[in-house]
Amino acid sequence: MDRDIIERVARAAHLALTEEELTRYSKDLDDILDYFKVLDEAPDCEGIGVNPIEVADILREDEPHMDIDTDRLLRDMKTYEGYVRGPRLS
Amino acid sequence: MKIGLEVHVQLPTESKMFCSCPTTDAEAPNTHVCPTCLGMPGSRPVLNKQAVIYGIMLAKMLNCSIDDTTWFSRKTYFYPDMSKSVQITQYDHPIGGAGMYYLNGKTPIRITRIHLEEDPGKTKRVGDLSSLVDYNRSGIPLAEIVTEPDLKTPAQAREFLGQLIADIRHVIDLPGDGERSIRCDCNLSVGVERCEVKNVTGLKNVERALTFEMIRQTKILKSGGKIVRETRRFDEERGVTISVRKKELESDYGYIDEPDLGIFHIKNMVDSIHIKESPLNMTLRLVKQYGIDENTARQLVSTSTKIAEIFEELAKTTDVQTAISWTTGMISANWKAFEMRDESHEHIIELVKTFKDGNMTDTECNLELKSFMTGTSVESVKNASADLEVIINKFLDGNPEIVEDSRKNDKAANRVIGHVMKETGGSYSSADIVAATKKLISARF
Repeated sequence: MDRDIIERVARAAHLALTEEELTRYSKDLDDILDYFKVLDEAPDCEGIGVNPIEVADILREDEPHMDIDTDRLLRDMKTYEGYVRGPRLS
Repeated sequence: MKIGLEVHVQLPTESKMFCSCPTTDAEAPNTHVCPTCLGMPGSRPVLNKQAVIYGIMLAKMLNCSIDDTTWFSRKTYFYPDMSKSVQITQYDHPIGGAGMYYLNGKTPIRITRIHLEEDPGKTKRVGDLSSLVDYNRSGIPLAEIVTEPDLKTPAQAREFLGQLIADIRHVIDLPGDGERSIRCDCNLSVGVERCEVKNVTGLKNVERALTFEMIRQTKILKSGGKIVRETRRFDEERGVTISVRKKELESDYGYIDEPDLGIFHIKNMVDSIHIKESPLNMTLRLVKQYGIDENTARQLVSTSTKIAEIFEELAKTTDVQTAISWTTGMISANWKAFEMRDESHEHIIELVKTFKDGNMTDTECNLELKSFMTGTSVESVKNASADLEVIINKFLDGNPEIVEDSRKNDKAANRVIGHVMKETGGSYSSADIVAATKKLISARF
């Protein structure tokens, strides 16, 4: 795979790759994409669908309620005064 | 120069877009959250029907084409405000497309699309550049309206946005305060490549950000430089735009269809939804239907579309001139107080009709209207009004040239208003003073 593409994908994924990794992933991603070529042999999908099992028209009414204790949800996260701690931003 | 806008509107639902967490302002960070809006593994989104209804209403307002089938996509991006690393949005089958919106009812602005998506959380940076995230906003429903680059100047973009916001507020009953807000991404190009200024809030700031960007890009091109496609942010205090990051290309977002939500067939909903007439359309219709001046029509509608409705009822039951005179005068002057009261406007119509039929004098009708609209007794209104008239008459006696000047210049009466405000320390509303001043000056002509 083209080295420029690897660099762009890495940048979009916020990954800082070394020279050695860039070379290695060029080959690895080529192998992965080759593997997916098997899908070219698959028959075309008929009709519209975003899930192989039909999921359609599932809507809920606009009724607010909370049924989970938010302290439990945040228990295993690093927090500061109720905020979730995130990474350093440049 | 080409300007295109992406306008994000928070939809006034009571619960979030894909979960039942409330959308009201929370007392503390991360208290209106659940596994779905925190993007926890295993959680699944379920679409809020009301968000779809609002989306359809806006698509209709923008004269978009609306297909029967719509669905959502996952947009991949890595930032702490979106914990699951994908934003659920719409990509190739949005709720509305190919619309047309008319600025001032005349200039066509093409609408590329309107789609629904979830709002990310809020990130704040602390001293060491690390981030603190509040996910209370995560999952609030948004409608994003994207225009074609049909706007020609920053001032025109501001005018467009002002009109659009007024129409949106009216059509979906969007509250004008609180956290619910309208944010704008502004795209501007003076040459070939464009830059995007993200998350600008407020009409004035949109014009300021675009004006700065226009000058910046022009200077670069004049000095032989090249515009780099990028995302910028607007620093409100300094009035400048600052480079944030090199813009991702569409392909970097890696859109895929959202399988958990599936697809939606909305034709029946689309057919059953009827939207209210927008303020702009109402203004234009009043001008055409009743032959009134455009500024008067705009004044009525912008004070309140309910006043415009009263005008229409009065125009039909009395005559257009009587309807204008009362709705732009006494009724507009006391409208704020009337809105606070939970009363029907039927009695207002009856009072004006009684006056028109000759069963009440002009002064009596004024007193009765003010008394009814403000919820105070006729006696109190009478006393206050008499006191006010004494002050105004005394000032006019001492400054007779004001009456003469008023024949040629509407603004001549402003001196009286300023004097009364100063004299009474704000005991009377400016609307009352204007109405009484106009009446007393006319009586001296």
